[in-house]
Amino acid sequence: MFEKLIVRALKNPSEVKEFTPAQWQEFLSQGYQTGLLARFYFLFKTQTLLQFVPPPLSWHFNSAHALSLAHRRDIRIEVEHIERALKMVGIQPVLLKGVAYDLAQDKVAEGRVFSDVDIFISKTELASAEHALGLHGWNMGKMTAYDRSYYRRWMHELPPMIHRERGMTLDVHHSLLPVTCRYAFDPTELQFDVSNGHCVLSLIDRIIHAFCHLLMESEFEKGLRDLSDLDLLFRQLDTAAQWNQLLTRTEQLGVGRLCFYALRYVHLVLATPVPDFVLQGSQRWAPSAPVLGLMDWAFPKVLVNALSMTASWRIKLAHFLLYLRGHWLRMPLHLLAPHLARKAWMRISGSAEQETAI
Amino acid sequence: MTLSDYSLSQLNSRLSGDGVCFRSGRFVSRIRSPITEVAADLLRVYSGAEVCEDQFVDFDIELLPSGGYRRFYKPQVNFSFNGYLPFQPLPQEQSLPLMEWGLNWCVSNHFQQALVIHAAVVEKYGRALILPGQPGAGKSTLCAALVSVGGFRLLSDELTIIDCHSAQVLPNPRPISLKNKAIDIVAGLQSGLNLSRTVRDTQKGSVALLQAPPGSVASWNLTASPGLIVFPKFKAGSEGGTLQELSKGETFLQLANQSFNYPILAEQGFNAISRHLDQAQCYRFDYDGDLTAAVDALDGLMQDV
Repeated sequence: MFEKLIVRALKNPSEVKEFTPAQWQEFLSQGYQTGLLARFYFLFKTQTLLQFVPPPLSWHFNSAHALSLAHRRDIRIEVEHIERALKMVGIQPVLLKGVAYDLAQDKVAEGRVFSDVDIFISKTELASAEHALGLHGWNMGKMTAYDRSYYRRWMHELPPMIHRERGMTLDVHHSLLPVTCRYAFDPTELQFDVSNGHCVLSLIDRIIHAFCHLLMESEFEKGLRDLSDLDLLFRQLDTAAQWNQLLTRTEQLGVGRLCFYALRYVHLVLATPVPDFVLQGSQRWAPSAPVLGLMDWAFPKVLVNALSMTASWRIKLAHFLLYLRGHWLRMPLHLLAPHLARKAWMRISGSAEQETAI
Repeated sequence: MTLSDYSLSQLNSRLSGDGVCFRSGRFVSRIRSPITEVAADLLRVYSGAEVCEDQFVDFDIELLPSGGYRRFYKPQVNFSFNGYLPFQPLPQEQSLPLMEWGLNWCVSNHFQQALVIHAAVVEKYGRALILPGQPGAGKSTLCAALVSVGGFRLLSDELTIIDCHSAQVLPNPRPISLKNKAIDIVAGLQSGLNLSRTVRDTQKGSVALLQAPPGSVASWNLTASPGLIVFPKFKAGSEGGTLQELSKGETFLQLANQSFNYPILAEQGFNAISRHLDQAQCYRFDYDGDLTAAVDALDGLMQDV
């Protein structure tokens, strides 16, 4: 099967040594599409491949790297601000996603784009956390009353909060998955680690959170970048005991199906070294053959190809299918249908424009 | 070879096929578009641009019509950068201004190898004259007058790029974007200026583009040393213009504020501005719209630096 240059380079970065100028040009374009230029700067640097980048194109990789470093520096400062604000009410937030990778010194933090900060707070502490953050300058953006109540009632996080001076976005989670989602689990089961004085999820739970997030998505704008994140996270498991722990935790939290897909597609698309016993062990979570056939048709397309105006009908159809799947998984139909109807009506009638400040 | 070596129909078939690669400022862009007006627009304001076949492309751009009913009813244009659409679609007659805004976006969002400031910049006597200014301060009008009648070289009308180590200004000569009243004022400066057609009712009002002079385009790689930083302000009744020296501290803060990537470059950005200011003089310039007098005043100041 025809394989995109960027996928080949993710699987084996030294392939770029053989790239022709035309292939470099195409690779650059795919790097922009997927947001992976900074990740490649890191891969090239660690594997002494930077000298193979054609000099006229090297600034693209250097600039992406500079941007990633700047984001990383900014979110570290932001974390200090958030922790200080919450300390006032005696809350220690658990840092999630990008910030957690950075603080735990995971390889996946290298060359990643950090756009916002994600924290987890137990539901009982939510009201006082929101109050303390509000006092320290974090406010929720404008949204319609309907969207606001939707977030409060059904989502696993508060509406995004934006700091009024620094402009950084903060997502406050009280669960890792939407409450209506069929894979939702009790957040009190999560396991934490302390890294350099900051609280993060344990490595296994960080991985579980990452794949739940990706496989519950309904829009895959940066699917390949997220898949590459998963690839690097899985590569951190280097003993059979750790892999076993992953399988056990997955079973405990009831997210087996999502784990099955994650292992399957990261292995299939990026050739991540997943031990055979793990792939076999995850088979018990496989869906029925027709569903698996459909997913095998759609997921590899969607994870590798972003939706664009010029995408083929197959790719557009695959995106549409997984869009429906994402919504279906997030909400049972008797909630989803009225919600989508309401959103469609708001778009048609233009009432979505009438934003109200909180 | 320059774009003007293509006939209109040749350019059109290139644009709707593999695209045309040319130097837009200091970067190489590849433009593709099935929209027929784009070729004529390009020949108007980029006729002197160097065609760069067989070279690496920095910015891969498509100007795409919206699909669905928009094919027939009030057709729209989208700016696509490697398949990503950073802007809302605009009416199709605004294709050229959209491409220009898009090309600015490409630089200000992706180029972190030097400090990028929102300011016009021109050169004379080997030194740079930087003109920062809020929208409406008249920096583009002044910039157009300086290059079309004042003998200044255009470095950029929108993005001043300062090397962090040498503090030199890196040229990015592209068409000058003129708005509303400035269009007629600049058209009246001199005969034979290459102006695009005027596009009305854009989000910035009426817009026309003035082709960059061939000499400026050809010396895209010739840097300029620090010279003057002048904050222009249109003020009726300030006869012939008044100059007032500004402190370097104040100028520093203004430049940092109007920079796209000062927070990203951090210490390097600080070095770029401070090294540049070490060798430059800073002024506030109120002018009454008499462009000839303004050009003379600024030229005189440049000679003394």
